[in-house]
Amino acid sequence: MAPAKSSLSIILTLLLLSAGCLSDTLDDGAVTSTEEVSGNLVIWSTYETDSKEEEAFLDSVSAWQKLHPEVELEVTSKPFYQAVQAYKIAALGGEAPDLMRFSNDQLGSIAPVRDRGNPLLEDLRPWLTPAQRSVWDPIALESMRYDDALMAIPVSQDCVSLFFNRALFDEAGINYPDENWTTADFLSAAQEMTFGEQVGLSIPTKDPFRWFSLNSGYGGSLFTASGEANLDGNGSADALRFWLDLELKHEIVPTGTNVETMKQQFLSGKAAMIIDGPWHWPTYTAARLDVGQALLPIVEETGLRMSPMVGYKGWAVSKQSPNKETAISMALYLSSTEVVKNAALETMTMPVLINLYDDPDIHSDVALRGFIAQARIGFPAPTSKGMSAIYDILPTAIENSYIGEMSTQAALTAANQQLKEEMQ
Amino acid sequence: MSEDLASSELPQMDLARRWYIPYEMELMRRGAILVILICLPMFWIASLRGDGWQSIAMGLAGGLLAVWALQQKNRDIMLVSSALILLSGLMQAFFALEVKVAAIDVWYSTITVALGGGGLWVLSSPHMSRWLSSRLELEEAERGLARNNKLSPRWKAATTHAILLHFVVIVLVPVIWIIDVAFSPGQSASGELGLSDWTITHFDAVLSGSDFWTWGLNSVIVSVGTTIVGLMLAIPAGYAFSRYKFSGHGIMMFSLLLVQMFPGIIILVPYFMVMKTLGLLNTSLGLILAYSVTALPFCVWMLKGWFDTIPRELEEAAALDGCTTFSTFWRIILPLSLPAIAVTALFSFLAAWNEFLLALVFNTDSSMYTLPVGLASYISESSARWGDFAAMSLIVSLPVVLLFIFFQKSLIQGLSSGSVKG
Amino acid sequence: MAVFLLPVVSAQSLDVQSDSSAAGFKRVRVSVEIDSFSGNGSLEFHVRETFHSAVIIIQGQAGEMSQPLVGEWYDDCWTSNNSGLNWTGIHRDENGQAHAFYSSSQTLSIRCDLTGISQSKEDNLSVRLFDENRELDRFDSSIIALTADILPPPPDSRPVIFAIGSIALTIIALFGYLRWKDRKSMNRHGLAFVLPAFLALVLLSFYPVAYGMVLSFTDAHEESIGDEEFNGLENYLDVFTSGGFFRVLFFTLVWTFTNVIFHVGIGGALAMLLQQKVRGKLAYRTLLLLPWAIPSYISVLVWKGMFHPEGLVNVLLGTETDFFSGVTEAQTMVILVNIWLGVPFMMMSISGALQSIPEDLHEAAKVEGVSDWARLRHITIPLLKPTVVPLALMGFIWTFNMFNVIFLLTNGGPQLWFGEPGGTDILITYVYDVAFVKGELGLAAAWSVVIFIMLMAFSWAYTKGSKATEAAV
Repeated sequence: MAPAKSSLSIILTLLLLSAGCLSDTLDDGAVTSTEEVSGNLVIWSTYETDSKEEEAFLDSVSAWQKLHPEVELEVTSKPFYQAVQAYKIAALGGEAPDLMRFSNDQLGSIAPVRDRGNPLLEDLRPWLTPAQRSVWDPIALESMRYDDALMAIPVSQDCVSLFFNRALFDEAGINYPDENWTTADFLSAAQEMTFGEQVGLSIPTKDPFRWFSLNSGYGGSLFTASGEANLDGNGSADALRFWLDLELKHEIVPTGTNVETMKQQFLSGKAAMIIDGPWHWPTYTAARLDVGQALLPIVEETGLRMSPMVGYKGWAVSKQSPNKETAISMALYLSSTEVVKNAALETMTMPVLINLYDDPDIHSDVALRGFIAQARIGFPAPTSKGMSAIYDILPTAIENSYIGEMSTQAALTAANQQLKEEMQ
Repeated sequence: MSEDLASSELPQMDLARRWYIPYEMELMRRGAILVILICLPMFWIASLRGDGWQSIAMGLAGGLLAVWALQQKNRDIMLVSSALILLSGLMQAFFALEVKVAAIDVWYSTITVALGGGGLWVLSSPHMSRWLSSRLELEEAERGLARNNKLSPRWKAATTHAILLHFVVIVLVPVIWIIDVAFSPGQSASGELGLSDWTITHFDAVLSGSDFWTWGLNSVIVSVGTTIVGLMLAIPAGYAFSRYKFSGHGIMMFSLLLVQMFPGIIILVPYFMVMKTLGLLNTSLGLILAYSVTALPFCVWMLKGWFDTIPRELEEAAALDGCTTFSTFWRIILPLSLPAIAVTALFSFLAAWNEFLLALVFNTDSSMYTLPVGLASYISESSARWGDFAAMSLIVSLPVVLLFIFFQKSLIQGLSSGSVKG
Repeated sequence: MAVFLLPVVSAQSLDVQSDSSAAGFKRVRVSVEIDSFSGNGSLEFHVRETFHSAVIIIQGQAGEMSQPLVGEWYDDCWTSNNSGLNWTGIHRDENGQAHAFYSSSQTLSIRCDLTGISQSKEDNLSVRLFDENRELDRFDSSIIALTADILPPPPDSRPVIFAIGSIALTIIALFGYLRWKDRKSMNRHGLAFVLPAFLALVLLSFYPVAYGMVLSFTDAHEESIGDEEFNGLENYLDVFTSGGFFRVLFFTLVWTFTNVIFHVGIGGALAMLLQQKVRGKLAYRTLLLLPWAIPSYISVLVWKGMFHPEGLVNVLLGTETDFFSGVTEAQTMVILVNIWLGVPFMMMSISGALQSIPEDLHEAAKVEGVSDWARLRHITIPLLKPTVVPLALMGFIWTFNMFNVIFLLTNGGPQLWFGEPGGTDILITYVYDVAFVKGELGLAAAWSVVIFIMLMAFSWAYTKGSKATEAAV
């Protein structure tokens, strides 16, 4: 630059800098959108009626409404199990809501739908600045993506971990599970505490969701890194064998246990350990059980830690929404620090904001801290078409292995074959 | 046991035996059949348990033997069979006490012991012995007949009650469970069946819940609307199909059924579009029409079948008296048809009241939700509030039960005035 | 922020250009030319007075850092060292942070697509250049993203209007024609009574059903709605050659026949029992109605819980079976639960029909000494036939397509076959799987049509057969 210009630039710089100092808000990417918010907004939530989560949600919504009184809000709740179906039908009929909350495997079911070439959900990538994106756990963000597009703004995560009944452990004189536990400790404790009516460990044997954590502990994975089906991969057969043996060989788990009866056994104090998630935690604490939470153990044979599948939930915007700015403004609000932290402390909903991972209030809650620690060791649920097919196919493999019709390896190989076919 | 009898008495005894059969024989026959019938499920249960079939086999043998013996009127074998049945009951009881006393064992033992013991007791009565050995006197036979006539209806009523009670128990078991869950604290579905802690918190929670009354009102509007519209469409149609054999009448009746045959879940999107085009989304009217159409085939067929049983002469007579078609219909046919109308009304009401899928899909706005949709929203992936759910289910069932009681009068109404028909 | 006034050694100048349409929806392409920069530093973008993103500028080689494919987050960046004649993709580290490398004091150009820019109003853009210590230069302007959002077209309601309109007209015309055909007889009056019902029925159901039927000849799939192509009978071929077709058909028939026989049988027996003079009829009737009155959602789930190895049923029977583990047990259980559900309705309908039989007939028969069984066979049953025959047919159709019970109880399980229907799947539950779980709409429609044809054939045969017996009676 020429010297004359340089002195001019100094002056300009000074001026600009001083102006900047006065008005700049150098914050860390506060997630507010200053776009025009107006019009009306239809929101579908899938919270259980009159639950604490719904209460917290409705409170946040009315707080937002106070900030934006010119927007007309319409909040409807849909029953969770029919949410996807209801959404698809409404969207295909041109009556989709502007904003709806989905879990990432629900997203995997809606994202592939193309109506005359258009997807049903808006790709949120152009809407967010990199600074806005940086507040979330990258894994959470990644889980909301389908085929590169960002389908929803992440708001929470959940995964299973190990719950145990402290009183029963005290009675049996066994040390509480800790982070050094291996599956050998796990098994022996379960065996020791299974006598009479009491059950050392209760798991829904035929439910694949909890088995995934054991699978990863044995080194297995549902998909290869490039996204191909990998159900019969390294270690999966052993994992399935161990899992089924808990009921069939060691006779720890009672026959026919499903999620509901597992919960009941734990609630009535008959089960010493279960594998369950934070969504049931308030039920157990409300029943005045002395319940503790620990990380899932390390698999003895491999030295790898059992890593559960982490599910994520987020707010998605419909592609046909005529009022996307408002919808996204609302979504960003609902996933902002204050709202999410409140939800975490009130309802045990794990946040996905990086700054909250080390938040002192959240840390002071032992259970929350434990859940977050477990989630950070988990693996994200793949948001792909193959994932929903897995829920359809794996139970067959488990059933066949359970009745002894096939070995676990054969069953998983057959399941993998089926999965490959369906993924085409 | 035939013995040598004085020849002069023989014809009388045979006569007595021929036209008088003590009612006890009939009872024993029925008892034997009952034993055979209950042995069959008991065999299945024994196979599930893997044990205990010996006593059942004995009971079955006893029952079969008894039937044969009753044919033969052979007292000895009848005694043996009764003893077998009794023993089977006792054996089962002992078996159960050893292992585990289950309700079914109690039931089985009670019946078999009662029947076996009863059989023995009856057979040992002098009256029966005399009858079986053909030594009954005429007067005794006559008295026996009178006694038969007195006993028969009472036993009939008792049997009817017994059968009905069994069904009621089978029906009620889940209902009692639901009631237990609704009144127990906590939100779990399983657990011990016990009313130790009674609480109405669930009912409280449901009734004071945010949207319960909205849902309830919507349900009432939609269901009553469906009943009215359904009847308004179905009654004339049923009448027409019954009375007028116009061209295409058979095909039309058949085509009413066709619509029911196509699985509805696949066609939700086009159905949604039809409703949207007609502007009927999020309206009560839309659901009313949809439900009326679903209920229509049954209503039309039922009413048509009923109208078929009303003889034409009635209308002809009224016509002769100068009544128009309409007033005949209104004043004569309709009152006669109350049972059928009650059935179709109840059916239409229930088709609307308990329907879930269309109410969910056609109502994008939750202010139009009906009760079943509200019910479903108590279940989420993380937990289900079974206590509240059960309480709400009971509340939702209540209007139906009340409606049914109200319709009972119409249903039970027989045709008192015999001159009307036949 | 402290500002140091240092003697300027190397003056910086930033030249910023923005292009509102080049980058796409909600994005603005901003090109920055930096004169004579040396050392390391960073270029920050601030939009709407908030930090947006930054590019780290490093004097040196890129080394191992990768240049990822464009399109990850729509926030592509490029660098150029000849003032924009050639652009190369920027480098990003493992956290996605952009790095621009340059070799010596030269004009470095950085071009970035900024996401999240307003479309409706202008946003303030502040581009700031920093070296390792302080801000060197700043450029402020405003930007707006001009590429508009394209909303997907709403669904086309013209075919629906056309279909509804033409159906209504056709029906009315048809009725008109039939009325003319019967103009000489009294029968034509009946048509007017039937018209409203028929019209309502056809209007609401014809279009969806016709749509479904047409769909069955296409390769419709969730992922290509609106793009369907006819593929003839391919779907039907798939249906008939699918593994487990005969198995699921067989179970559906077993399911349907067993249910209907028991519904009518037990329902009829109960109705007749309740016809007699029994005390407490009202109480009995009301109690026996409960399975129908209570929403099936909860009663089925309660049965499911009761059939559990530790559930009530096992407690009462003294067994410990997992009723849903084996295929035959599960099949028996679903049938039993459906019988429980369906009997009250049949009982009530037959009760209603029983009212049509005059009491005097029974009285007369009793007086003449006709036994109960004979009365039943020769009076009650023949007179019930006109009602029970169509009732049974409707029960057949409903049970054949009864989705709820099996879905809630077992969801088609036990699932012992890969990619095939499960042990307790009936045709309709399997269709649901195909349509909603796999998204194959054309195939599901074909299955539905197959179900439809089966039911139609059966109903036709049944109606013909029952008419024959009716005539005989």
